[in-house]
Amino acid sequence: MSKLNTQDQQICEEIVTQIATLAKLRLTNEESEIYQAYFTELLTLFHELDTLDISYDLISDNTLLNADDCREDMPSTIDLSGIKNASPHFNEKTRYFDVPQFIEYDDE
Amino acid sequence: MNKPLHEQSLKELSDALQSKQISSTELTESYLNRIESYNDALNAYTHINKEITLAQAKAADKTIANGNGHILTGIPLGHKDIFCTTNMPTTCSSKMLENFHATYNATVIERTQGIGMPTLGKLNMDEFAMGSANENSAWGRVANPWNQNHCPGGSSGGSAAAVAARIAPAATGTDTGGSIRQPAAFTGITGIKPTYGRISRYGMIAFASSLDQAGPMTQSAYDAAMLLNTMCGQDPNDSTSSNIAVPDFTAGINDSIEGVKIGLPEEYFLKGLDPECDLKIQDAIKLLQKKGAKIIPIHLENLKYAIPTYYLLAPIECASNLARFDGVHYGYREENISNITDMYELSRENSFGDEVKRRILIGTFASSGSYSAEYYQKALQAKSVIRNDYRKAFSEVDVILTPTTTSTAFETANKALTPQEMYLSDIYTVTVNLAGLPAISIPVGFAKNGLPVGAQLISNRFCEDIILRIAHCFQSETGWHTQYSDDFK
Repeated sequence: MSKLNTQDQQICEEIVTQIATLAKLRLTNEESEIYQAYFTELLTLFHELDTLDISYDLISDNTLLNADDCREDMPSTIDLSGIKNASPHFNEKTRYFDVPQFIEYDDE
Repeated sequence: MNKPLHEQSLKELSDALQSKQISSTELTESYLNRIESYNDALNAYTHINKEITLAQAKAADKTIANGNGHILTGIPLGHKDIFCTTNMPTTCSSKMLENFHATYNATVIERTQGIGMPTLGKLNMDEFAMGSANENSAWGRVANPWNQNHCPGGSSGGSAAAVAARIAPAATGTDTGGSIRQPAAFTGITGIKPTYGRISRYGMIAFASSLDQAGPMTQSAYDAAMLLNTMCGQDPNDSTSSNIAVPDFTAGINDSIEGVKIGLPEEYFLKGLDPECDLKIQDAIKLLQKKGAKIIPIHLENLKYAIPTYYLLAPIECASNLARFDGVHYGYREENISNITDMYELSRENSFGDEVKRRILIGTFASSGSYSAEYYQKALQAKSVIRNDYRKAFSEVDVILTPTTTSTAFETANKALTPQEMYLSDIYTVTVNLAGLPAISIPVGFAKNGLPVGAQLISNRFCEDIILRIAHCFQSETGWHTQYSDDFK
């Protein structure tokens, strides 16, 4: 990710394409152009944090007051009866989800 | 009985049910009839199933008849379509989850249905809870009952519109940056976001896990207190739910507010706030002063960092949480694809709406490469700075009062507002989520355009009782919360 650096205040098309790939989204050329401008604008917003004064000690605010208070770790059987409703791609025979083949073999 | 059922508070409905003046079936049927009459105008509900709802009402009647009823048994409730339900679809208002049936119920659903509150239906929302106008729903926009050319706010816009039009006695919502309080303010109802950890997030589809919190949306603060009693509490299925004891929120709600110190942060009343909203809030402050509250000017000087901080942290968490929607295990899958990359990318591209895609891309952008070190860490520091501001403030005052929103409800499809401008309108609500605090929005009057104005009360962590007490005191003296649009009478 060397191309992504904070000194770049102008976002190029290549970066937008790279971000979209990471996000598993496919952008049209038009969308890509919009996001170039949009990301550049966002950097200005993010740079508002540059003036933040963090010179004093920050007391950490532990939200988890009950971090050790976990439920008992007991093995349980998973009920798969409802999964067919949740996903039409669940294969009852293999008990896996069907997806397109993603390994290509030489003899194919 | 003088008032029609749909104008009655939860307490009044509870009394009528427990004394058997009405049955849950009658009450539920009357709400289902109102939904049939008015939902087309609002698009608040995305899914109803009369058969299931009436079966639940019948079961509630049996429970009451057997003497095993809870105070809320038999009162039907609308649920934001972000809570997983096994017997109704859970779509998060996204094409991605069209026809999705969860394999389990969210804890909020279990708790409310468990005490016999029938589910009226699933309520419209901004897709995956991302939006401030409820215009980002795959099932269409929701209208504001006070003026259907205006939005009800978001993301819990369906919940807010349903309660405001009295087509639900109460509803559930969720709040990541103001999604309960802003629509409550825009529609003239009461909405509370409890302390982070008060209510289990199990089965609540995640947007930004460190900020998301469920809460009730009701006609009044008293109704909110009654629902909170049921919704709150530790859940073994959510390790971030708190083990702090849940008080009876209705117990001290009638106590006087004499001597309560209310802080007014100067930064919240500067430019950007609509003068008419300001005026209504000043009237509310005067009333609270008359009831014995002490008004103290305070400073929350780091408010200016709220928007960049929120719009860094929330999208980063969103990008991570929404990575699971890839068409493999559940949700939309693009047909006629030949390889796995196409399946991932086209399934996501063709089922997520524009706002969701925008936030996923912002989150991926801000957490990529050196941007992560530069911005994400800074945003985390800013979050601590904002929390410290509140900590200091609560050493001087008991409660903080602010406007909930900068203006009344936006006009529908307000093209004048860019996404950035829309984000800026969340300025008064997002800091509360960043600090994990509880806050309530209550109606304090109407602007000249006929739209409601809301005020926000914020308290220290796990001190919901004090904001409920002040809100109830205000509502005992005013009638703003009892008003609803003539179009739905």
